[in-house]
Amino acid sequence: MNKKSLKFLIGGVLIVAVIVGIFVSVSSENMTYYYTPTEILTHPEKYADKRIRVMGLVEHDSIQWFSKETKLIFKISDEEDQILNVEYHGARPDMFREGQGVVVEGKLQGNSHLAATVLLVKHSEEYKAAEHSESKDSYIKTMDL
Amino acid sequence: MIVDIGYFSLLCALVLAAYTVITLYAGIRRNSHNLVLSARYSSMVILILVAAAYFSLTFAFIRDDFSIRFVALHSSTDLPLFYKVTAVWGGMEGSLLLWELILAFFIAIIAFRYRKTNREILPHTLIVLNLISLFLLFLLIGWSNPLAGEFPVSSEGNGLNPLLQNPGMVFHPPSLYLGYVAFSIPFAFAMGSLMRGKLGNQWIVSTRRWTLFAWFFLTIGIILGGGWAYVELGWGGYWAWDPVENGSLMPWLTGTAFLHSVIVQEKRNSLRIWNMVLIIATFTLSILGTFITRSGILNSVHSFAKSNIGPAFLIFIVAILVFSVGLLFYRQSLLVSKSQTAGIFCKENSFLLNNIVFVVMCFTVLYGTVFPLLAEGLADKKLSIQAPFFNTIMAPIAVLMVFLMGITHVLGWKKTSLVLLRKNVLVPSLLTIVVMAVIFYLFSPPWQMELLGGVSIFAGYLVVRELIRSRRTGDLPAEHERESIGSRLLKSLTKDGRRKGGLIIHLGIVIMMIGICGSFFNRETTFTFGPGEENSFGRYVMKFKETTETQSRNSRNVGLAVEILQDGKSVGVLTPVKSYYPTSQQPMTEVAIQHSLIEDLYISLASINSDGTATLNVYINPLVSFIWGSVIFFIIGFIYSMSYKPIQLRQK
Repeated sequence: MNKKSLKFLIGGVLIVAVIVGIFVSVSSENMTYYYTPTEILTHPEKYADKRIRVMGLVEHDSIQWFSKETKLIFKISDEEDQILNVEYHGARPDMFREGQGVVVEGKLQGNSHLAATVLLVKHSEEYKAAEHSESKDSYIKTMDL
Repeated sequence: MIVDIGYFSLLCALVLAAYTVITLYAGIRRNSHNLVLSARYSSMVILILVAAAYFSLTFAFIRDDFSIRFVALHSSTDLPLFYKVTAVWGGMEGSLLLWELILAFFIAIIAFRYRKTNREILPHTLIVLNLISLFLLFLLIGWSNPLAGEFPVSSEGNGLNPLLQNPGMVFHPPSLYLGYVAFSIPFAFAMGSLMRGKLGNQWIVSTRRWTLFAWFFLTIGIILGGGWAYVELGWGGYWAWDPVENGSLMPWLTGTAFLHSVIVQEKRNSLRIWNMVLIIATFTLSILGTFITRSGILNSVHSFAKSNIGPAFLIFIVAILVFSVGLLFYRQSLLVSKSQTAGIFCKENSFLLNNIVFVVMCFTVLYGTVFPLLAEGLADKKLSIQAPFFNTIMAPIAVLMVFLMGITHVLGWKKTSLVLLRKNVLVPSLLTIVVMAVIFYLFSPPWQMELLGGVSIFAGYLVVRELIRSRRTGDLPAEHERESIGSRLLKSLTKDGRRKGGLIIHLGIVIMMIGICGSFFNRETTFTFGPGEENSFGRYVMKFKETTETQSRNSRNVGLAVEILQDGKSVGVLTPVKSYYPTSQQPMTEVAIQHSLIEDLYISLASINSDGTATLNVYINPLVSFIWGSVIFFIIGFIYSMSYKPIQLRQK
């Protein structure tokens, strides 16, 4: 290998190393994992002060919509029937209703209360199947994230 | 009945495409002109057959033939005719048919247009193109058949997704496809010359305008997609680093790099292997873009495994890569360019740096798009990489990109005199510093905006100066002196189209960057108010006027008339609407936007509540008009660039 291509090789490796380094650090800061209410509620201390995304189904009879304050309070749950309280500030999405799969993003306050700044209503092709007794978990798995 | 003819045509096209490949191969082996001629004619017949299939599907849409599954899924009797015709590409199967139609059309053009100028590599090029066509036809008659029937026949279709009933969305997919498919032409020429072992610059010169064509339509397609998201999705923005958007951005980034680096090969005869790598990457990413959107992998890895078309695409992508990289490796000795010494400040280096910038950008997007899919597939962890990741990395690279775009115009090939360079950049640099100081004083913006804004001014100044010079310096040759002023002006405006085209497109990029700078100052609010009440936001006061209800052909629309006041004076009424379509359970949000050059006031109706109040999402988006305005520059620049005809083609 001649001197010139060696230079190129070293230069190239250095550039790639720097880029990968920047990537890993920036992406780990901006990567959000999806959790289930059960994961959050069994170890709430692990998630304190972190932005988290939680996916679950909206519980029956839990929706309260305060139009004046544009505040939405509801509960979400998963297979284990662990229930997480959510308070979201913002408009009420069109398809938001009981039994609907949602993703909320925000910070945990206390042990079972999430202050959400993002609320996404999710659709699943297997929505119908989920309504008919299929497990909530398999529904959540197929949610169109 | 008609659809059966369409399906039969597709079958014939498939057989004929296979025939074409074999004939071409035999023609090359036996050096038989007649076999190649036969293959060229069969390309023409394939086009007719595919067009027949396409029109039979269109016909089925117009006649509401719900015995065809694809029609039943994507249309309904109450759909306006315009949307029935365009619903053909409203789903995966029809989109692939459109892809194939465009490809067949391009192949037919190539087969005849280049029969003289590229005689030696044409058969090889046509083999590559027909193999791509063969893959698509194979999908179309089997796994992804748009003409498949359904039984029992339903009396009403599912309807076209209301989100797609928008002119921007109607032309967004075909424009992207024109771009994607057109990139297969330089790719096929590159592979053809590798197979033939004839590696001059012929393939680059011949496909220059195809590359421009692909770049232009990809650009327009991406902007149309952004425009559609802006007016239809109702979240106030036009770009969300969504995997579908990223899928179209990746080939655009490598395609842009390719568009520039071929100039270096054309002028200086270097970067020959690199150009091959870039076009392979661009074409593969074009296929990946289609794949990401169409395979179902985005819904979840689980549904991907269930579909047939996803794995087929994956195999195709791997096959392309193995074939093209293998071929490149095999022929690499023919591509080594003689090293030429050059100074540090020269056009070559600015192009090289430009290429690195675009490839790093593409890699960023690829990483952010594919990593979550890999994490889910391999580790069963659901995660998302959010917009800040892309913004953090892309912003500084974009600053470098815009800087290079400006400075390259005052650099010469091989070597630039430093004295001249200093003289050329002195004024724009000073201007930039002044403007940045003013921006800082007035808005105290984030540093990314400060830098991006500054560098845009710098590049904008240089580009405009070059544009003015390009009109003046080329004082016309003496023979035109007697002509009238008008015709001389016309001549000076039209000559040197290639250079002017590039400059105008660069100006468009500057305009777009200024628009992007505006997005750093976006503001939003959500509030609820009742009849007669007012709410102020920014320099606007919004007054609840009345709720409205209208009926259009296939939807019921509930709206809220909001009177907009500025400085106590009424400046208009905006009526954001929610539309209810009987064929869809989800209502559509039709936003109302008051455009101005400085900022958009963007109102979306979140809900009309049971107590008669209404909840609104209101956004103020500065400088968005600049983004849409840049399109005009892209169109004019494109027309200028296309007016340049390579010398080799001119002789014929």
